[in-house]
Amino acid sequence: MTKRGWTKLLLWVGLVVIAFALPTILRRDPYWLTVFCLLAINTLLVSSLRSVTLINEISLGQVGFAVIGAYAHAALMMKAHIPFWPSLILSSLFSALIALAVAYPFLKVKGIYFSILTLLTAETFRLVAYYWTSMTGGSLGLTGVPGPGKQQVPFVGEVNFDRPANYYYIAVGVVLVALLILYWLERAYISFQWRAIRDDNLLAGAVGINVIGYKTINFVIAAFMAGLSGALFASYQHNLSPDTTSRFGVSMSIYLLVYMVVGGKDYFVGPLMGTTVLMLIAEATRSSQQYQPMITGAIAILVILFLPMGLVGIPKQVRSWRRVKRLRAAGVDGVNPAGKEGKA
Amino acid sequence: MSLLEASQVCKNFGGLAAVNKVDLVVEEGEIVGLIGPNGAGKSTLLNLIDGTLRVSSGRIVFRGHDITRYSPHRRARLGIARVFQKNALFRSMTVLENVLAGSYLRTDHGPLAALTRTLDKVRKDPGLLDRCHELLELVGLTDRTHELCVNLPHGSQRELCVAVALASNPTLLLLDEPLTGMNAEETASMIRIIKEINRTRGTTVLVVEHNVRAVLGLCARAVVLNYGQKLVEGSPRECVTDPAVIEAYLGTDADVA
Repeated sequence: MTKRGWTKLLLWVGLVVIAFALPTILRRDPYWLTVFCLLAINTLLVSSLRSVTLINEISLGQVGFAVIGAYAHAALMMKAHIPFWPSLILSSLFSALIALAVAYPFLKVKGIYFSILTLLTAETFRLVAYYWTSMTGGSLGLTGVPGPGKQQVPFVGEVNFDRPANYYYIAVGVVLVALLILYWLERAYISFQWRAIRDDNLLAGAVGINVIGYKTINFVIAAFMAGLSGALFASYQHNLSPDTTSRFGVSMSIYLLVYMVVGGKDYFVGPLMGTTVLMLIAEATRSSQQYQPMITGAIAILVILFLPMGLVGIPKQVRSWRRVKRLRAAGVDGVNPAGKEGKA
Repeated sequence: MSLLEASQVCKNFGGLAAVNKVDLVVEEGEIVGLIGPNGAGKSTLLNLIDGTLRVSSGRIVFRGHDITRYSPHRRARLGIARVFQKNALFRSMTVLENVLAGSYLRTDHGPLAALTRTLDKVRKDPGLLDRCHELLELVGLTDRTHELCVNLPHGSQRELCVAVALASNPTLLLLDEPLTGMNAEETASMIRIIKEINRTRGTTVLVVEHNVRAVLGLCARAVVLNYGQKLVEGSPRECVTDPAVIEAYLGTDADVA
């Protein structure tokens, strides 16, 4: 493995260790633990959004698949009395199945049309939850969504995972596994087909790649991950509300996009970085809540203007600034820092 | 049986018949030129053959398969490859990666293999790499293997397009104006490449081209389209001296007067 590869691996291991040490560090502050739990769940949702960018589309519908995952999970556990783990998987699969059903027309259109279609579909799913009162509790919301409950853990004994401090382990564990799967996909041969489609979908078809087929695989996997994040959320929050102002509203879709862009959409860890930084800033400024969207917006604008590669791209950005400075000092004109190509 | 048989092919865009009842037969191993004035429907006809567009009516048979309703990737699987008029390349990739991506059908593809095998493994497959380098040698790009394709000059990009199309090992190669924007030297080199592909690999070539002199040098047979219809068909020299063709390109004496 290269030196870079080792550094990367070390960073990941460090991250996982910190993630699992947090409950011990934050023993006296359980509130922050719930924040980190939600952060993990959101990171998965943002990563599912980034996954769709691999086929050059911006999905504003990930929230919609999270709605499906959340309510399916709640229904499976509360009405069908299916235990937590199978229900978690089944509800994510259900979300993926819905994605498969709508994929064809969605993936026939591109760019802004895809975004609009996904956004409206997410709204439709939310409204279904809003009006299907018998199933979802409607506008009053659904309360009492169970968590994983008491479970036997080898070497530890019985643990009550309904306690937020313990549910944290489940959320972080599941999200880590999900991220590993997404990471694998980016290293797999399929990522090359996605890249070919992203670069030129006509040419991709001409060399024999089933464009719609590979796009469908991407979209369905992303919907699975979004559904999983929704299901995790349902058991975390214990109550669901399909309100416009809830986490299933349109503004959430926009926030996910901002998290991704601020973190750096070209990097796998971009969603993690963006979600962490922006959510922690939001928490830190909770006292001035009315200004929160403004603060987030200002950060987003600054990042897009000055760090087009996002926060994870800062080292690369700095290197490129230095290079430009060096070249300019040497009298070479017309060079631009990376991330600003073609915008001379 | 001919390699490609298009019969009574029509394509309407709204009220405009871009291609109107065209019959086209291509025999295995030949180089056929498709010529005609701007807007004659040449590119549209290529789009209908490779599946980028679907016919409004008519039938296309390739190697005995009725491919009229096939999507582009299914036609590629049967052996049709295409070089687009604009330099269509995988923009984020290097020269070698472009040819690798073009080799998709020659790799162990299928969704399951694509999901379970790493990209690194495919990239390091010696047999595949050999084939790619061979193709790059054919088009003369061996010294630029690891450059980003967008950094190549226009002529080299065009050659790379041909290598990408050849990577799938096609039976029929569709070339849409391979010589546009090229200087004399690049034109000569491209003509040499096309001839060599045809001679050594036995690839059948259907080429749309404006450069009439190049078509004369390249093709044994030419088809002239005008206003979406087939005007003349025959040896290139017969075609360009045909009064109807001259009229289509230059107008009649009456137009001048």
